[in-house]
Amino acid sequence: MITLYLNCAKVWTHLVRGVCRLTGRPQVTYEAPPLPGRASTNQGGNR
Amino acid sequence: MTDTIVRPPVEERPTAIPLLPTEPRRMGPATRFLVLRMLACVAAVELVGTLLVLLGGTTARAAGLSLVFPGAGFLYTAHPLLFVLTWALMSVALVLWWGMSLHLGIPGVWLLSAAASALLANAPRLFVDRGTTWDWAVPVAYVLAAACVATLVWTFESRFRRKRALVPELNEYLRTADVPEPSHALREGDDMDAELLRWVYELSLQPIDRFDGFEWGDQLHGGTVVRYQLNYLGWALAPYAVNYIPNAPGTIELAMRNLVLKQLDLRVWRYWQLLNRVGNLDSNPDPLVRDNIMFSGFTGDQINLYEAATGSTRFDEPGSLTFVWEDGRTFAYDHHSWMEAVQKNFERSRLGFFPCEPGWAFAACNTIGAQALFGHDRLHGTSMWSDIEPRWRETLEREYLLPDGNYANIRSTHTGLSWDTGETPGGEYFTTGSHSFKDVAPDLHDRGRALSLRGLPPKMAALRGLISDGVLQLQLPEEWERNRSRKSATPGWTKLIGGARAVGDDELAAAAIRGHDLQCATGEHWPERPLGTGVGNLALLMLVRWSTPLDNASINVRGYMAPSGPIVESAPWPQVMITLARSHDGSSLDLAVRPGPEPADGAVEFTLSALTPGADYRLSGDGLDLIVTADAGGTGSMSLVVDRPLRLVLAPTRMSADTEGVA
Repeated sequence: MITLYLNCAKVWTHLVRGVCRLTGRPQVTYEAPPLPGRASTNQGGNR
Repeated sequence: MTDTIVRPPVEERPTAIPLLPTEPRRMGPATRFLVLRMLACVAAVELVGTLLVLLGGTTARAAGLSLVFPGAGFLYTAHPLLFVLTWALMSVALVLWWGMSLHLGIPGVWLLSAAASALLANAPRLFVDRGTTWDWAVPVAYVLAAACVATLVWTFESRFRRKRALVPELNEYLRTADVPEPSHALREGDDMDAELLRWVYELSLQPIDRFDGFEWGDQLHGGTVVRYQLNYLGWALAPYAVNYIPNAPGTIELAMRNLVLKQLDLRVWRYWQLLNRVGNLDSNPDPLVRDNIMFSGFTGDQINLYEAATGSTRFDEPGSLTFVWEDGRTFAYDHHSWMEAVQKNFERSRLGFFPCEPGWAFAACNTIGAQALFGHDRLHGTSMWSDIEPRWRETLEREYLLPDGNYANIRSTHTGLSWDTGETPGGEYFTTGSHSFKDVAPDLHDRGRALSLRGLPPKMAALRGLISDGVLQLQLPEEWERNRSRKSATPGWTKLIGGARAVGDDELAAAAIRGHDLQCATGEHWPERPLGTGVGNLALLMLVRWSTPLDNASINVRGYMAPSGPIVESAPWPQVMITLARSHDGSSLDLAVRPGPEPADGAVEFTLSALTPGADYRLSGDGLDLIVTADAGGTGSMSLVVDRPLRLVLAPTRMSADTEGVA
């Protein structure tokens, strides 16, 4: 195992945050994105 | 007796802990091949670069120097800022290589720097005259290249030698260690357990295409990945189903089923086409056919545990796990064909482990993939795991094992490289997967467990002094969650509870659970969170909390075992919630029931089965005392007003017990 002196996971998180800022989207949201047009799951829900 | 006190089979487990190799290899044969291939490519680039430096003019020399060391041609042509930019881009390319399998990123930046160096060889300079060259850049490029190689070799070699030097001491420890037995306590569950269960029911039992309460964001890495949230929740419910409510599987079976079905939602798995396109240059969106073990292995394990905990075989039906792509294409799977896809990926792999993200094979994910095949074999009598087991072990032990008993977390299947990516401490671990090798490699589990517990019992014992009134009086520091959107102390408590369980200290574990609840409980109910932490960490806490006496490894080994004693066939959710239903003697039932999120105004009906036909049962506790008479088919019913938590016992009356004895 080599050492690259770069914490990829942390940099990734900052990259994602930067992209979210640029695109005006939240980094974390509690609302699912809309389901694309034709696709759906093939099972019904239950409660 | 209920299944909750059945221990996993141990007859085949070796008695001695396997020792570490005394003459460890630096790398296994597959890794060595990959590394040598990569070095050959780098050497070829260096050779071409050197030829250009030696034989070319200013333009060729600039390009050649950038091949010798990325961006060095910019130093030669007096563009130092472009040299800095090259290395900033190299760093981003490195992260994108790991993060989204952009394999062409680093070579692309490298070649681009060579091309740009050549193009700008005669361009105006920022601070110096046009046509200026810095000849000192030639030796500097070679020094930097040599320093870079030397640093990588030194970090590899020094780590290897440091770990190798520990082998005699570690082997002596493994020979003589008195490793404590882990906890197998049978818990009753408390109000917080009930609140957590209620919350996860609310989350799971909403319509399949609703994801209220889940965290959405980046779907490639980190805490907002929904597939992992679903995995962890499914894993957490499995031990609850087995340890707490084996005799009332109705609601929890539905919750676990829905967590699997949500994995089929396009929003959960559509990330794969992007990764497949970028990393494999393949636009097939089918998430199981190639790589992607972080989905196929994890969810395969989730499906096994669903089946092992509830006995439901609905996912064995053809097409029961069908993915529908954006254009209407379908990819139809079931439990069996899902696992066959995992097995084929293992068999195709040159390294022996197959990738999560294209080009990256993680030991953790490949262990969970192994768990999935193992569990399927236990449930269905197949030989998927046993067919690949020898090669899997060889890969783990020859390719991933480090001299001190740790395993490398990650390996590039293209270059053979491993490094600490920041995902796990040090980029290595003694055991991995969600079962710590306990099912797929019990001997390696024992070794890894012994190594990871080295020095831990005294630390845990020291914490006992902080127990007061059954509570561990401690405030743990809050840590950033993976997506750095929130701080929480729950992950620290989860580790502490797990540590106490690992050294068999039930009292400390129970006190830590109470200490956690005091510090982290929010007192809020769905749709708010009972704990101030993300879904993933919340699920991992529940998993650790509920994993005694049986954990998921034991459930994976055991497979499904039908409960004995009376069964609560139906209890109307969301009017009521059963938090305990288990039998310790095979004839009576310990039952705890409380109001659900939508309590009924009056009495609600519970139906029972597996009663002794014609026998009378007394239901008593918390002020209730009523007789339930079983019909000839062994079923019965009871109406209860559940306006508060009720702790009840359903037991055959003495007369019916005597009758049963005579009969």
